[in-house]
Amino acid sequence: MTTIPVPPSQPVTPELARDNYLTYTRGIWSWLFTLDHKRIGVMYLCGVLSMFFVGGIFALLVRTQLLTPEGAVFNDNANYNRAFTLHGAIMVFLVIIPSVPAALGNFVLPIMLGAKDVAFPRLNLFSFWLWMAGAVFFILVLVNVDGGLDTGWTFYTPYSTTDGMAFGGVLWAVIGVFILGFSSIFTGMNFIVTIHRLRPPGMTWFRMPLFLWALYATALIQVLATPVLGITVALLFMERLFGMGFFNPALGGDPVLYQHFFWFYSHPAVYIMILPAMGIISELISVHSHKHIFGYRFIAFSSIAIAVFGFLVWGHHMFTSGQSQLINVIFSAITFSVSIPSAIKVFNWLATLYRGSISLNTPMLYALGFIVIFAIGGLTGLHLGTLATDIHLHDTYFVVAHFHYVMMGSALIAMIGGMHHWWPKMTGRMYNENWGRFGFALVFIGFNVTFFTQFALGSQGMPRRYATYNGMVLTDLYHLYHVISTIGSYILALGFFVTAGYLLHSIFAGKRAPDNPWGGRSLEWQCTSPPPHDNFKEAPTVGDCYDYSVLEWDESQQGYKWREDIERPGNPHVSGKDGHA
Amino acid sequence: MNPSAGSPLPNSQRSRTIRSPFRSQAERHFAGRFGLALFLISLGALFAATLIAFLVLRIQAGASWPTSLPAVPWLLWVSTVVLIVGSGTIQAAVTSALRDRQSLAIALVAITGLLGVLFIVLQAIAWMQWRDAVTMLWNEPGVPRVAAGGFYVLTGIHAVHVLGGLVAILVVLLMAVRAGVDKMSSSMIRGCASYWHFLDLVWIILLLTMVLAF
Ligand code: HEM
Ligand SMILES: [Cu+2]
Repeated sequence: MTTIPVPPSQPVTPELARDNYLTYTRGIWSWLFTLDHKRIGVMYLCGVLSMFFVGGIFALLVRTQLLTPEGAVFNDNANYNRAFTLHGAIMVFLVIIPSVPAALGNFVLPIMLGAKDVAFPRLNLFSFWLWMAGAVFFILVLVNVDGGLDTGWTFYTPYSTTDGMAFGGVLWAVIGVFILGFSSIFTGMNFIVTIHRLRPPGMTWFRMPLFLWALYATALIQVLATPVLGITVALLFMERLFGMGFFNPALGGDPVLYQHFFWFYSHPAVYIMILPAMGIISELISVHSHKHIFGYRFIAFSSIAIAVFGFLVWGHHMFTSGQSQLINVIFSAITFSVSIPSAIKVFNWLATLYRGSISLNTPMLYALGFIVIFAIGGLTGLHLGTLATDIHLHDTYFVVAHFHYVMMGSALIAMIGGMHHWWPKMTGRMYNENWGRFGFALVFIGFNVTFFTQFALGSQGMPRRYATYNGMVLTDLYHLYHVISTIGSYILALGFFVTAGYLLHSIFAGKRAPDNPWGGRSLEWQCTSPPPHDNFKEAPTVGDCYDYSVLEWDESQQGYKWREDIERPGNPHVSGKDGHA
Repeated sequence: MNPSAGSPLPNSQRSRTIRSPFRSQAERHFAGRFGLALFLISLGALFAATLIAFLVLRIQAGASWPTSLPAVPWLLWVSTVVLIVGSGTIQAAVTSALRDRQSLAIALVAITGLLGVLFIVLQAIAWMQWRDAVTMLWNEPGVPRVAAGGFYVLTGIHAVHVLGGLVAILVVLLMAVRAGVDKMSSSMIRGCASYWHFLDLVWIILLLTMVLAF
């Protein structure tokens, strides 16, 4: 292999060194109308985290209500229904679905590809505006107090069609979900085209970072499943406004049809949440144990397998809705088969960790936490996928615990881990590592105290979505568990406040971040922290993105750099040759 | 900042720079077509789901489906012809744009737009015809509402997509009239053509479904 000298970079004057995407232009409008994927990603992140705060307030209200069997917060049980519905709908549609793809994905994906931007920067901005519009509709629901949305996040009919208020909260929420759906479709389209068309020379499909495989699989689901959600809520909209009767048996409609349509989207949607999270974990585990990822192809293909199988299992949400026994058995069997690719990933991560030199940085702690929590979440999915046990567990706190283990404990924790991992890149600052570990400990402990308890609660028969639980046979037992769970949720909330605190602090007072603080090999670690407007001042070197043997610690900049005794391979953009490491 | 020291643009020009991530114009247009194809697949899923919802309700209705349900208004056949002719004219616009026959291309795009407007008008009249034919059925007990209402849903969702197409055609037309039929607008005309063919296909499937199911 011939070596081509790396072209000399621009003379680094102090101003040029500080010339990055954050300082590129100034003023609020330069952000709101930016076409820069990094700024759009950051704006998504701010939006998503604000909505997370709002959704979190409702969660705490719900938990506090359950401190006493008679209900400690709401006088009117209908308000309790509104609180958990808003909590669920905001967290699912405005927080978790966009969190990894739209926020972190937008920031990281083009840089990982060594590209200047996503394929369609304008469409990307448009997606962001659609997200904002969707959020506005949810805020309308919040403001619209007595017409509030109280159906649960699934908008099941007849709850969503018989409140007698044509313009109540359900209508606004449904419009909001429709708009958010298109935001998600456009992001997915953008990512698919970007990954197909903007990979740099030398980066074949099987040399892509696994995060990109995960985003690709996610984007397929976004493009294929989200339109079905769109039409579902559109039909609901017409049912409410014009009395079309699709879902109303008195008018020849069928409420179970609604459930089929809803879950046909929403089961794949749980993979929109978890696949990108798994992609993040693949990166974090490998980088922070400084070891080549184990079973690259298995992890890559299992993402695609999950995406495909995910379309065939929606009926497991409807075992008790009166499907035929045969259909139930089929859905149950396919549900079990989805857990195989999930397990493949977990085993490959464990094999990657094995004999790695693990640094227990905050992102790594989150990644390890993810593995533990996802294992529990996935395995309890099997209890629910089993017909006989699901009849008992359906609509109890067991289901609540299951999906919090996978959505919050897995998807959201991976997103927070990823946020820490890319924080130096995004902001150019390091957060305080000790505070980071402390925050993680609070989150991890708080989470498990809150939700593990709920497995016990549900298996003892406590139904979900009940505002009060006095006068039941097991009221005393339920009371004990609810108190423990609520205390856990306060610890969790404290953990998030700590996290928000030290992250915000780091923006103003953190140490300046080196270009490669963790020793990552994927391309985003080759540009400066924070990256310049065009991402790379010089075209990056493409190679095996999990081969860390070429990097070494550089004390002077407190980060990793290319080893001096190893020649840096030719630059593929210049030489036209495969940049093999 | 000293502009001669490196490539960065002076601040005054920064907000106006458009940077394409693509290495060439041709790659950019290819990506555009790829994106459009994905979008059409997505919309295809949307229409397929609508159709499935309708058919499920139709099949479940069984004997309660009203025998007195009228056939679809004959006007729909006229609008079908209008839509298909529009596909022809926009395709002709693509060819003439490729051959750089500018004014012909612009005229053909404009004609397609007018045909689209005509299509919408015809659909609206057909809605009124349908309303007169089914008023009795709408509130009749025991009759599935979707028998009378499904017509509006299927034609309405399609019409919304035609309106979207009209907006796109208007944009292309303005661009072409202002700046001539360049690479950019001729690639957009191609996009409009694909979209229009897609609308044809969807419409024919919807119409046949209604003819057979009603
Ligand atoms: C690993 C394999 C998984 C299996 C076998 C599985 C199985 C199931 C089953 C059978 C149910 C229905 C329970 C019932 O309502 O009675 C369920 C509910 C649920 N699961 Fe999973 N699941 C898995 C992973 C996930 C993941 C990764 C997510 C999200 C990231 C998720 C999110 C949910 C949600 C949100 C619900 C409840 C929705 C509701 O009723 O409100 N699941 N799961
Ligand atoms: Cu599911």
